[in-house]
Amino acid sequence: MFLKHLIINRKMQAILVLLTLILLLLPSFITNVPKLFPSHLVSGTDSGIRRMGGWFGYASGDQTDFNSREAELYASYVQLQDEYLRLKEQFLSVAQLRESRLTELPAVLAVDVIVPWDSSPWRRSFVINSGYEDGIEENLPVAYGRNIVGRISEVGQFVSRVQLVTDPGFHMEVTILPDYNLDTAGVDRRFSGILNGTGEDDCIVEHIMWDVPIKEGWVVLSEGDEKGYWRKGFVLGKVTKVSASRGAYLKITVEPEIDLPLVKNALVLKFPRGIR
Amino acid sequence: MRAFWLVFLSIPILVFQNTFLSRIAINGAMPDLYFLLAVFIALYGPKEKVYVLNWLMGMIRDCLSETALGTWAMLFLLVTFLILHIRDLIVKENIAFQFGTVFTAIFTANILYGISIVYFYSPYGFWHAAFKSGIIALYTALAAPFFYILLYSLRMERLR
Repeated sequence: MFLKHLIINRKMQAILVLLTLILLLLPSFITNVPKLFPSHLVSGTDSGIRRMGGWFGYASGDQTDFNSREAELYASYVQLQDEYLRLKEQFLSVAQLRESRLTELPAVLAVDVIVPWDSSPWRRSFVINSGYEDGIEENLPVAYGRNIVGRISEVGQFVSRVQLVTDPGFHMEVTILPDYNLDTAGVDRRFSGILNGTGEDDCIVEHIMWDVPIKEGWVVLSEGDEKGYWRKGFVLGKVTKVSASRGAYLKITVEPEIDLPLVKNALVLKFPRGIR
Repeated sequence: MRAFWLVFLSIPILVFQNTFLSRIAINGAMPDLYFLLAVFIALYGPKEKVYVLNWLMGMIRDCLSETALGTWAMLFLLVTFLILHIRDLIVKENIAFQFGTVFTAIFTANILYGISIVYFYSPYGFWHAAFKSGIIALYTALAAPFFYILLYSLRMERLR
């Protein structure tokens, strides 16, 4: 009997290990859709448990005052900007200016966060309620007001996963510049580095030389990327600590301005390609 | 009780862990009740089913995470393999044993995952990953006796 169990277990072990290895080796565009499927199931459980928490006085993210109204305001801002450009073009009668400006406007999609956490204690991500049926693509930036929250990492049919800026897999070229309210002397100073998530509540910026005079409170902004997904000027956070790292570089700790686990709504931005 | 019901029970536990228990997290490390359930299954579940059960639980964790599909499933299988080899040799009802098994199992899985993070992304060094793994394991091991008393009271020791 024991031997029989042992044989069954050995076979089962081998099958499961083989199956898992195959899954690990499959490219992400194949696994993304089935991988995101259980999010539907979990989002209902999540909202139910949060509601129960509300009865017991648990704050389920009410501190976050950002809501769909801000999404609407942002969308109307984009529309007004569009209209402004058209009027300006008519006034100046410069057709070329009109075309170039209009193509720079991003398509904005307001989304809700349906699973606001990642099941692994080492990673940081959340699931939104839009997928490729809504025009979502991998690598699109996700914003919260003027702040960058993360980027789309997995796309399903109706849901997608957003890799947060604090996830260890998140890397981005950034510029650090002074907060002009605090440091008016440093108007012409700006330094570029690479921002990495840590898997905790902050990020670090690396590859900035040790003799650079960066101070706490300076602002970290995004740089554009070569593929045209990102634009310059979105806020990633503020410098909270500057310390020496190994070698000739500084280790700069950056904290996002918003509490990422409490984000309930966000905006997916789709810029026209080929323009930085 | 049918053992496969535990897979469905695991989802509310996962949600509870990531909503309520995340409030007491230290640097992102919090009690991992979900993993605790997997260790419970490996310790007390029917031998012919524990691999499938824990593999399914690993797959659910993968589906709800940024990680590649299969990563946690593999770690859950590894932990199940280790526990199955020792479970007949020791007294499972002993609190010290429960604490030790949970700590070792969770530390092993997390340090392996932490090393992969350090290797591929290097947001911090090995010692930081080891410290975080230790905190997660300690936190979870402290909760183990209470959690297992709760599961016994649901008569889950009679899994089939």
